[in-house]
Parts: sequence; structure tokens; C-alpha cells
Amino acid sequence: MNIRLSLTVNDESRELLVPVHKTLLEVLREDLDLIGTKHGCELGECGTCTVLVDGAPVLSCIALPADLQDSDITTVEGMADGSRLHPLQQAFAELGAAQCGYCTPGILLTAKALLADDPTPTRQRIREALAGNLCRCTGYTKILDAVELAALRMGQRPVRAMT
Amino acid sequence: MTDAVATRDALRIVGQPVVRHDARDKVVAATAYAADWALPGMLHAAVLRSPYPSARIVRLETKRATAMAGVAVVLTAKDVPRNTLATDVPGQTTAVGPLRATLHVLAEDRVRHQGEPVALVAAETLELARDAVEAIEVEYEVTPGVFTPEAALAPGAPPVHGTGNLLAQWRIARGDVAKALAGANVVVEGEYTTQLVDAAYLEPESGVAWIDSDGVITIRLSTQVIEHFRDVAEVLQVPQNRVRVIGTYLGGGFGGKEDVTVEAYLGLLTLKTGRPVKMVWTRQESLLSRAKRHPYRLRYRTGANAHGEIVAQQIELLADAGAYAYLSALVLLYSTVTAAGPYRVPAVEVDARVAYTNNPPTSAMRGFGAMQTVFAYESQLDRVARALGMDPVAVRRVNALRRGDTLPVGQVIETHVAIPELCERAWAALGPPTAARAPHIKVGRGLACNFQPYGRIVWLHDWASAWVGFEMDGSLVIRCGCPDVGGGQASSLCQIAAEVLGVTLTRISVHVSDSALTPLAGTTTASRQLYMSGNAVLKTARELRAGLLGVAAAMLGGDADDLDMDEDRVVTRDGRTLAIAGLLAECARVGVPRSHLGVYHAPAGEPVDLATGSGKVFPDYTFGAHAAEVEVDTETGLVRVLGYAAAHDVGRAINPQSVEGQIQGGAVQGLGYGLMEEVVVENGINLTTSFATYLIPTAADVPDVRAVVVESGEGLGPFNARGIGEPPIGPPAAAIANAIEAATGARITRLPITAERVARALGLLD
Amino acid sequence: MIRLPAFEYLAPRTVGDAVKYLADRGADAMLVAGGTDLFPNMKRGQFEPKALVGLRGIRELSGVSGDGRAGLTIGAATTLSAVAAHPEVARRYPALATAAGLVSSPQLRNAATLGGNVCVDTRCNWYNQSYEWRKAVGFCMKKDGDICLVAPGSSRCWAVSSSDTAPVLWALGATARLAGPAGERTLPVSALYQDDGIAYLAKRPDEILTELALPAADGWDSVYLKLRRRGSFDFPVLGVAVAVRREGEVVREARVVLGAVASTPREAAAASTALVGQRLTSESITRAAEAAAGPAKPLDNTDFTHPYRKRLVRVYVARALARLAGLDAGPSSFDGFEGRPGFPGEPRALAGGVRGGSSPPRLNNQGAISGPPPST
Repeated sequence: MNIRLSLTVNDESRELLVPVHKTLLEVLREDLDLIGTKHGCELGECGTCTVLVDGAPVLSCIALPADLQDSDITTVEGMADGSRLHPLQQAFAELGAAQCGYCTPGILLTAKALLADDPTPTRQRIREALAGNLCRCTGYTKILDAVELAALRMGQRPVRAMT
Repeated sequence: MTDAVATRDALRIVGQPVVRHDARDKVVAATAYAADWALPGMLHAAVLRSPYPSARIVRLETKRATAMAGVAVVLTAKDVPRNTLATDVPGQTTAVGPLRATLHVLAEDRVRHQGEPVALVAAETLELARDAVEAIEVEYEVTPGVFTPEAALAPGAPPVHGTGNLLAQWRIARGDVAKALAGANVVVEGEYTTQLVDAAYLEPESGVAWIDSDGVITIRLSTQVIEHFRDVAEVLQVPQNRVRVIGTYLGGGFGGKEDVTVEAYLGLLTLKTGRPVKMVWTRQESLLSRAKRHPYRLRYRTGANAHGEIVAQQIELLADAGAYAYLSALVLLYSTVTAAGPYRVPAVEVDARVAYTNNPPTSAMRGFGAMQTVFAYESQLDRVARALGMDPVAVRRVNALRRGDTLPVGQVIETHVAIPELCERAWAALGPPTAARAPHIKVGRGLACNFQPYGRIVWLHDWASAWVGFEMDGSLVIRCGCPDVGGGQASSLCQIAAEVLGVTLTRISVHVSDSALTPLAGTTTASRQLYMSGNAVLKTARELRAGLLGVAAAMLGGDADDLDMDEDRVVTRDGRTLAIAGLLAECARVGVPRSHLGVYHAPAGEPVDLATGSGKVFPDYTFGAHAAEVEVDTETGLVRVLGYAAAHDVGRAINPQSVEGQIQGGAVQGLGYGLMEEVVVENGINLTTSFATYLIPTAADVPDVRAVVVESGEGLGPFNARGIGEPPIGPPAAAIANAIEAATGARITRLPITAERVARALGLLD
Repeated sequence: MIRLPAFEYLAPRTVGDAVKYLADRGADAMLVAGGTDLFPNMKRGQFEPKALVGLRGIRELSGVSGDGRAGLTIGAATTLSAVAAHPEVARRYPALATAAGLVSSPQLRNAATLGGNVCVDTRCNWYNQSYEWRKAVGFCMKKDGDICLVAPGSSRCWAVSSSDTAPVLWALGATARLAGPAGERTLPVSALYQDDGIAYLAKRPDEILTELALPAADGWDSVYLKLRRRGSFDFPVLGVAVAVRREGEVVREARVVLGAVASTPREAAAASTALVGQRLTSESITRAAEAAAGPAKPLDNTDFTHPYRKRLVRVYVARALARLAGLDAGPSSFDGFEGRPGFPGEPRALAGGVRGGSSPPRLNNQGAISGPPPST
């Protein structure tokens, strides 16, 4: 059963005709060429495929696009402002919080939602917010550091972006 | 021959925590991982796997699957030109003699483990490929299997292969162990059990293959070993120069992408169909079929004198290889050599065996056999200390190896051993003790050391090559066949070249991991890539520099030795400068090459006779000490790690940020190993084939890891660096077990240390 | 990619239409709200609906109304995140906020709904596997087969109730409203379940759970403790929900309900009875905890062995009661965010600097030199 979908992804309206049973992850990667969203387990058990729906992190591997036509979807491709990195991206790059980088897109988006909700989170709050994103490389310490650094900078003033 | 590599005194870029060249791509998700690739007209592939751990294939019928619309090809063993894959010692070395191990690309008349590949399908869509897999008819006759190494080695056990089930055995005998134990003041006996573990990288095995111009079968995949192009060529029975492997930036490897994964299947399917083919394993497929870390049973008798000095160790190791040999014999060798720990032990006997079973196959994983032994030797040492009333730092200080000491295998330690200072610094880094939060909570601290070889076994004659060249505008290109698994391998090469050639980092491009276009550099395994490719780039850059400065000397007058390269210029002692572009133009005019291909050869040696303890096995070792503070809930057995410090002597930190990342990430993997990870297999059936049951730590489960980076200035890598990829995963399990005993008096000897096991050890059950 | 099998998708805007669609499609249809339980199960071939009736577009199914004094009504399609964060839930029905906030991971809770968690499929190590795996091992009676692989010879399925919120709603005396072709009916949450791993819900297949109603909270206190291996993701190995109504210090009503010990949440009635008329002292708590361990009959078909889980029933019930009594002997490791401590030495709030990292970065291969901004 194909359906015509109208999705708003990274502030752009996208029209497409896809089988209704395709997950958001599959539509993003295969139909919209937004391959920044990665797949890890496809069963909701790792957080790798996290995207934002109306600002809240959700798992695109078990989300149905048909349900999201009235929502704003944000993927990692929507984080930077042109060539100007989001402060989280900047901090992750600087502090080495992205090692193999595979979990990074999902973690960046989860952290973005956290800072929107709580601009000055405690370290424990950051841990809890990121507890749904597995990382196998970094041991998390640098990821927490990077979220703290980004929060600090976002609370001060615009940061000079990496260009 | 050994290439001499000297150290500079004043370093400008090496030693700086520079932002990696790949960092920006990774945070904007521009890094194209293997599964992100697609080509027009691409087919999708799926694998039919054995449901049974031990069975005969009575009938295999593919007609129905082949006839399905949209199915391009269905392949079984009879379709594979050469259905044998060599699985030991992947990489550039082929002369390995008796260790040679093989497996079938696709099962022939028997399957020996659950998940063993039986047939391949390529179809227009993934759904069709999966449907076709379902349509393949296989009739199995289930045969008796063996599911523990003990059972496998018992008389009359069903043979997993034609021969007996003993796959490999190593023995070390040094000194008179019986006499030394008889004279010891304290003898501690222990039996330890470690579990089957999965690499559990977040990026599943994946790749895309196509036939490129001139008929070259090109496979772009997530691999730690691009040299598998040769293995694929053998399978396809095409000349080795007609297969090209392009390694992507990996979403994690940890040894799990050291053996062949998807490349042979992709090669076969693209060769048979002439079309591009993509294969991406599901998480379950990955957890079901990938080779894992060996479970071990380790029996130790450790004797010490009244000063806490170990006088003897008698060690018996038994490992489970699963159904195929893979790298088991070598994993066991690492265990054998490291079994007595980084300590002076005058009398040692090691008897190490690894057996075939019908369990999932085991092979390389970060730590590679030098890891399981840590849990045993560090638990034993702690128990010795406890028996003698010594503190954990003191007992390690008196026993630590020193330069010039000889390991039980006969290898002389040639570099500094920092164990005492690493212990002190890790212990101190825990800071003031945490008070217990409640009467039923006990808090304790534990320490554990390890040593991990870096670089390959010396009789494998390891080498790595690199190409370094300037473009006319003064920008620099590095080509090196080194796969980047996420540890910053490629970025470190940039720092090394920048240091030698005085090029700004932003003006360097690095191309890695392409078997056709980058000079081969060997595997990203064995903590060898910084050591080997780093030395290759260092040597190449220095040789290039010598040629260029010869020209510069002629231009500027004076001696080349008086010139330096810095900030994209040549600089004389008296402060005159020559822009690099000007120098390069002159090189072009006079015909001096602006690029260079260099080869680094690691120190080589002859195979040792282990029993006589006669010599060198590994180039060198990296030493570490980890300290943990834990709280134990004595009513439930729940353990929380409150604080963690991991100290390693890395010789020289090329990029301290990357070094910290390796230490923190490795330590947390080690905490997962210690506390929660376990592939549960019942009679050959894997019960943990998802991330809901194979548990790896989340951010909520582990504390910050304080990385203590010690630079002794001694190591065989570039600028005296040592390998740090594997070492940090070794000590955590033992550090936790030692901390639990310190907190509660209960000794845990089986991994993982679950709440239930702690509860049992505390006497809460039965 | 593990594809979902094809299905027809129906997206009604009203409960009435949803009921109608469900009735029309009969056994071929299933309901979906957050999809966090359904879609993984469909990918593994545990569920094979030909049609899905989506509830997300039905406005009346979402939201919280009322207050603790009069009672609270929560739409079944309200997300677990919304339930956990709702101030009145957190203040007056804290066990429910805790339980909702401890389901799986933050991302999952943003999609998963309260109704979905109440109806979440029962779990078993031999069932929560892919089609291929189950086929290899031999299908079990819960799906595609006719025997129980955990208890061969058993005539029933022993899959385990794995809802965090169900024991809490039961303990709080909540009622569930169901809409079906014959109209609406309301039943206590305690009557919503039956002790069978397959037919674990008393709800008829053509009925839709529309809302959960909590009675007035006055005088009641509640707590939920969860045992699991990790601080995230994992289903409960044990859930303990306790609600008590006290007059002065004397317990007048009490309900102790255990999750993940059987195919249904199970009320430890003896424990509840033992508490009534008592003050919460260490002695009465110990007696109640001993009594609670009675009905817990966990099998070895999820995580940990049953002797351990049974022992933990006693410990967790005692701790839950101790917390209500203000006798808190220290929190367990994984028993809730508010009880799960941070790591020692970590600042309570951002203290104006980054901790634990290496020295500031200086060079950057790909562009400008970057680092923390000037601190002026």
C-alpha cells in the first residue's frame, strides 16, 4: 500500500510516494537521501537512528512517517546553519567526542533536545538524557564534556563557528 | 633489519591535542560509512544461515528461490570457485606455517555452528532477497554436537572437524615450579571463568561491491583489513590484482572486522551477476554469526614469599574456539605469553589449550587473549596481597617487571616498565574515598595492572608502507593503506608528517585504506597501526625531507643539516626563509622528486620454542594500571562503579586527546565485559541476538573515566609512542572484582559480575 | 534493514471510527499508538497484522485532565514522557511518574504511550527472537508453535508481564475505559489482566483502551521500584508498586503489586493485609515483605534466575515501604531517577567549566583554530 506523504524535514517540505510500511529511518535514508541518520539495531534498542520530531528525540527505526505529516522532523543534516556548525557539533569536534562517529548523529540530536529543554543541565541530567544512545567507542566521558561545553557556550554568546 | 627511528627533541605538532581531520565530517554526518553507499542498478544481498549448531546437510534445493521474479542469483557452496578461506594471520604476511586455518565460504555437507552461512542471494530489492532466502529448501539431519571445551576434549566426543577437537596447545615451562611452590610462604589457588563476548560495534557489517573498469572487482566495506582482497581473489579464482578493497571509515571494529565479513560474499555475487551488490547485516545477524571473544577457564596456583614476591605460578588455560579455527591458536599464544602478568616470576608453567566446539566461532577481539588472563593473574595477586596483609600498590611494586627482566617465554623486556608509577597514579587519581550511603552499602577500591603486546608477532615479519608527497602549491598528500576504525589512525599520520615536513595541518590531505591506491600498511589490529603506519609515515617523511632540503641547501647556500622545515617554509639557522612553493618549483626544475614511498620494517625474529622459553615473541608491550571504586549493595548484590582511573604508559602521546579517547573507551568496554556483557549460548543456540539481551553499558551505567596518560619516552612507535588501542580494555574486570572483595570480602571468579553472582558470593541465596 | 512487513494503514480521527475499523478488519487488524512494542514485534514476525489502526491521530485519546483531589484521567495515547513529566502526576501519584519515566529509554518514552505500556506484550527469552531464530529452535505456543520451550509439557504459556506502569495503576486503584462495538465499559486495572502469557489481557480484541482513570489521591502515598540490569533500556526484571492510605500514621488501605513475576501483574494480597491497621515500622515492613515474596513465582525465562528474583521481591518491597515510611535506608542502584544518585564528585550544576577533558584543543585540520570563547 503506497501512500502520498508530505513531510517537513529540516524545515523543508518534501512530497513523496512510498509504501506505508516504510519506517521513517528507511524513508530518510532511501527516499530522501538523508543518510546522516544511521541504523544500529532497527528494533529500538540502541538509539543510533534518533531524530527529532517536534523537537523531541524519537527512534526513526520504529516510527511511521504516515503519523508524522503534521510534525517537524529534524535530522543531523538540519543541525548546522549552512557552513556554521551548531555549538554541539563544534564542541563534539573539538573535544574528540566523535570517535568512530557512528552514534554521533543520534547523540547530537538527543543533546540538542536536552539543551532546548534545560540550557544548564547537571552532568547527571546529561547522562540520563543520553542513556538511550549507545556508544561503543568513547566511554561517554568526552561526550558529556562536549555537551557541557556546548551548554556553556550557548549560555554565553554566539560561538565562533568552525568554517 | 630494523629501521632506526630517532626522536626529535622539540616537537611542534606531535603531542598536541589537535582536532582530528575527520572530526568535522563526523559531526555533520558527512562521513560515508559502508552502508551509506549506493550505486545505480544495485542488487541487494542476503545470507541463508544454518539454524542448527551441528547438522548434516542432506538436501539443498535452490530452484524455487532462483525462479522468483527479481532474484538475480542464488549461490551455494558448489558455485564458489574455491570454497576455502584462509582465516589465520590476515594481512600482508602469508608465510605462517603450521597455524594455517581455514573455513568454507559456504557450508558444504555439514554445518558446525548456528548462523553458519549456507547460501547467498542477490535480488532487486532487499525484501525479495529475504523472500528468496526463505524459499531455499534445506533438509538437515541434526547430529550430536559438543558445547564446552571440556566435553569436546573428553574421550569419544563427536569430532567437530575430521581431526580431534584439540585445535592448539601451547606450553611454557620455566624454573622448578613444584619446588618453588613447596617453599612458598603463601600459595593461592583459583579457578576463573570468562565469558563469550561480542564486539558489538554500532555499525553492522556492510559493504557494496561492483565491477570497475578493466574488470576489477571493487569492494567498498567496513573492514580492519584491506589485505583480504587477496583472500577474495583466491575464493573467486581471479588474479589478486583484479580485486580491490576500499576500506571505509569504520563505525567501530574492536577486532570483529578483522576476519573476512561481507567481502567474499559481495565479490562472489558481483562476479556472478556483473552488477553492483550491497550487503548489510542485521544486528541479529551480526550478533549471531560474527566471531567473538573466547571464553576461558583459567586455573592458577600462585606462590609468594613473605615479602609478597611471587615465586611461582602454575597455570592451566582452556579456551573455546567454537566451530572454526579463525585466529584461536594465536589468541591462545597471547594468553600463554601474558599468563603470568607483568611481573617477575622465576618459575612458571603454563599449559594452554583451545578446543573446537559447536558454539559460535571465536577469534580476534580487542585484547586478543592477553585480556582473559588479566582477570586471573590480577585476582590472584590481590589474594596474595590480602593473605600477607599488603596493600595493592605495594604488592605490584615489588613484583613489577623491570627493563632487562626475562618473561617466562624467554623474551627480554627492553623498554621501561612503568607499573609502579602507574599504580600509584591510578590509585591516587581516585581521590578521597566515598562514604557509604547506607548501612547495607559497602564501598571498596581495587587495582589491576596489565601488559598488552603491540605490533605483530616478530616472526610474521611485519611491515607497513606509506607515500608522502607535496603538490606544487605546497599542500601535502599522504597515502597509506591503514584502515581508520575511529581511533584517529589517519589523523595521527597527518600530525607525524606535519611535524617532519613543517606543513600546516590544514594543508594536509590523507587517503587511507584502499588496496589499489594506497601503499599497503597492514591491518588495523594488534594495537599496531600507530606503531607501524606511524613509523612508515615518519620514515617516508624524513626521507622526503632529506631530498628536498638538499635542493633547499643549494638554493640558500650552506648545509642541509642546518635547515629546518616549519610553517610551510624552509628556515635557515640565521632566520632566512624559503617558501615551500618556491622550493617545490625548483625541485621540478632540477628533477628532484617531491614525493616518496617508504617502507618500515618492524623488528623481526624467528619463531620461539615456547617450551624451552627461548626468545622474543612480540616487539614490545604497553603497560597499564587501573583503579576502581565500587559500591556494593549487600542486600541485592548490585554493584555500581563510583569512580574509575586508567593509567597507561603510552611512551609518547602523538595526540593526547585521541589517547584519552582510547583509554576511556577501552576502559568502558572493559567495564561492560566485567559487569554485564555475555553471549548466552545453550547447546549451541545463541539466546542473546539483540541489544535487548546482549547488554553493553549506557551513559547511565558507567562513571567518567579519568585517563592518566604517562609518557615514559620509550616505545617502538613514532617519537617513541607505544600502541594504546587494545591495552585499556584489559584491567577493568579484575579491578572491579578486587574492589568488590575489598568492599565485602566476597571474591567473584566468574564473569560477568552480575548482581546475582555477587548476591550468591555474599551468601544471600541458598 | 529489517523491513516491516506490508500492511494496510488506517488512521481514524475518532474513537468511534477506530472501533469501526477494528471491527471491520477483525482478527487481521491490530492497534498501534507509539509503535514501540508493535513494530519491533512485527519486524521479528511475532505479530503479523494485515491492517493497522493508528491511534495517534485521535485527539481525544491524549492528555491528562482532572487533579489529585478529584481524580485524574489520562488518555491512553498520552506518551510516557508526558505522563512522567506531568506535574500533578508527579506530585500526587509519584509512583506512576516514576514508572512511566523508567520505561526503556528517553527516545522510546517520547513515542510510547501509557495505554501501550499497559497492554505491552508479555516477554520470554524464547519468544522475543526473530522469525528465523524461532523457526530454528522450534516455535513456541505463543507464536507459530504448540509447546512451551521454557516448561515443556506445560499446557500454558509462561511469558512474563513486563509493564512498568501496570502494577502501579493496579496499586493506585485505577480503572481502564474500553470502547468496543457494543459501547463502552470500565473495569479496574486489576481486572484487565489474566495469568496467561498469550491471553494476558482480559480486554476483547475488538476493544480499544481509551483512558485510565486514577481515583482521588487524598491520603495516598505511592512508590515504584524497578530492578533491571542497566540504568536504561531494560524491561523490568522486577517491579514493585506500593500504594498506602494512612490516617495519621496508621495504614488504612494498602496495595502491594508486583510486576514481571508472572504473566500478569500480581497483587501481594497477604502483604497488603499485613499492613492494614499498622504503623510502618521496620517490624511491620519486614512482615509485609516476607508475605509479599509468597505470590512471586518467577520462571527462568527472562533475566536472572528465579531464586534471585524471588529474594529481590522481599528486599524491594521492604525498601518501597521503608521509603513511604520515611525510613529510607538508602536507595537501590536502579530504582528510579530520583533515587539514582549521580556519580560522587560530580557537580550538581554546571560550574562554569568543562571537567575531565584534555587540555583545550589548539589546532584544527579543517579550518579555523578554535577553542572556548574568551571568558570576558
